[in-house]
Amino acid sequence: MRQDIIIRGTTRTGLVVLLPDEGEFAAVLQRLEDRLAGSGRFFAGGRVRVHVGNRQLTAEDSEALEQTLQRAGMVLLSVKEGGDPVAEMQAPEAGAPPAPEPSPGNALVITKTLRSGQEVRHDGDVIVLGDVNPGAMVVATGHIVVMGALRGVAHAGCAGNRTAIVAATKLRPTQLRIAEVIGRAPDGDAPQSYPEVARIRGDLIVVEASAEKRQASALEAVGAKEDR
Amino acid sequence: MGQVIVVTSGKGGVGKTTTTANLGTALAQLGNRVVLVDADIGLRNLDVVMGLENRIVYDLVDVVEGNARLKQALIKDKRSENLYLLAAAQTREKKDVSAEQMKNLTDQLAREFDFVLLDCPAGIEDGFKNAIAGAQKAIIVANPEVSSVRDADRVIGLWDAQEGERSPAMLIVNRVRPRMVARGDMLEIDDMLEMLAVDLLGVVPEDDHIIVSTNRGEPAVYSRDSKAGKAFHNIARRLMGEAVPILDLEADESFWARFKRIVGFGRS
Repeated sequence: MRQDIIIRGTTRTGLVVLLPDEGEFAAVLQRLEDRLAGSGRFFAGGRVRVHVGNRQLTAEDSEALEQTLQRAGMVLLSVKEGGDPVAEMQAPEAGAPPAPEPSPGNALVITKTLRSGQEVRHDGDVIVLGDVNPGAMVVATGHIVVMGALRGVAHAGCAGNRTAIVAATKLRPTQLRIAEVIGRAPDGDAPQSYPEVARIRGDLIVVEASAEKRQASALEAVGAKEDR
Repeated sequence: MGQVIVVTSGKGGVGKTTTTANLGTALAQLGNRVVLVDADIGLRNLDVVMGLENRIVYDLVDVVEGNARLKQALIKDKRSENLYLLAAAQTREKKDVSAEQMKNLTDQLAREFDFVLLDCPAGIEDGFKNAIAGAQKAIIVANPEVSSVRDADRVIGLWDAQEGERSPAMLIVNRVRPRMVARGDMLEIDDMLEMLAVDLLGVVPEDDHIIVSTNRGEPAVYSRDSKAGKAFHNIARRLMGEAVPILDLEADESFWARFKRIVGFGRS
């Protein structure tokens, strides 16, 4: 039988804590408390769903659980009883981004800036080594990557591929389209100065820092240590 | 062979005709043989701005159609010995001239003159295509406002897409109000350059002299105290290959800069 306390982060719903369903609940809570204390303030502010497995919690148990979490700065969202929590955890998370499909290798590379009134349509991926200015348009059945400023309109996955992405060194498009989803930057939103990637999450286009940016900041941190 | 330069913008009202008139006059003052060609057939303006309207006998369409020889149609400027104008026809349309005819005409003019400046009509249709047909260089005039920059970008794209040997487009930012830029109410020139990605040929400040001189038919470069006139003079020297530094917000130096210059610290 499962003895461990399992804590997992999910992208959409926050943290999930699986508690073993054997032994005294008070003892389990004590182990949870020790575990959380050992993590410092790492989980502070986390919103938690707790899965207790084959155990029926009394009102006191629930309150004790909530207080244990509160001491670690966490908020209890819900408690689930029964079922096989581990199997459920292994099921694909609904909120996780679908991994971009590998492209068939049919990429078009454009080595100039696309100016207002210019349009590129391509069956495959499009890579632009230059800017895409306002009034210009890039339409691709695959991904669109702009090594420069994307200020015009980009439509990735135009044949219905919802896993297509739009990436740019400076992502400040007039409008973004992926498959049948259309998005635009919120009015008055300050543009970021680092590379960003847009993809579909749920039914919305969301924009995130690209992997390179995360890598870059990790490198900076290492560099800072070496300086000392 | 002289240079054939088209002055264009896409958007109307940004100062193409004013730029052509002033730049041409300044180039002539600097000793070049210059001809200004009004390519805006049906909506001619350049003759008015130059104050030469009442001297037109033959126009561009007359030359193209063979009704007049080129020499007959060239109108000599009132003040400059080496400055000429080829006026547009007012009673005809853009489609009465073909791109090929325009190219032949500018080629012929380039043999006689150092600079052939073409005043392009607004828009990107036939008139624009005719005007750029024979040009080796393009001056893009833009105001520091979003719609003007957008149209300039479009025109630069069309210029780059032309066949044949052509220099990259050059940008003149016209009607800049330094105080509005400083306050952040106007597009910054750096931002315009970042997007348009072309060489900056000059910056011309907004200047009341322009309105007065336009109505009088006397380009502002003749006026000693016109800031815009001074800016156009600098641009003319740059076109001749001289390295004249582009001052930020040209010809409108702050009190502090002037103070430093008088005291002898400033280099600019």
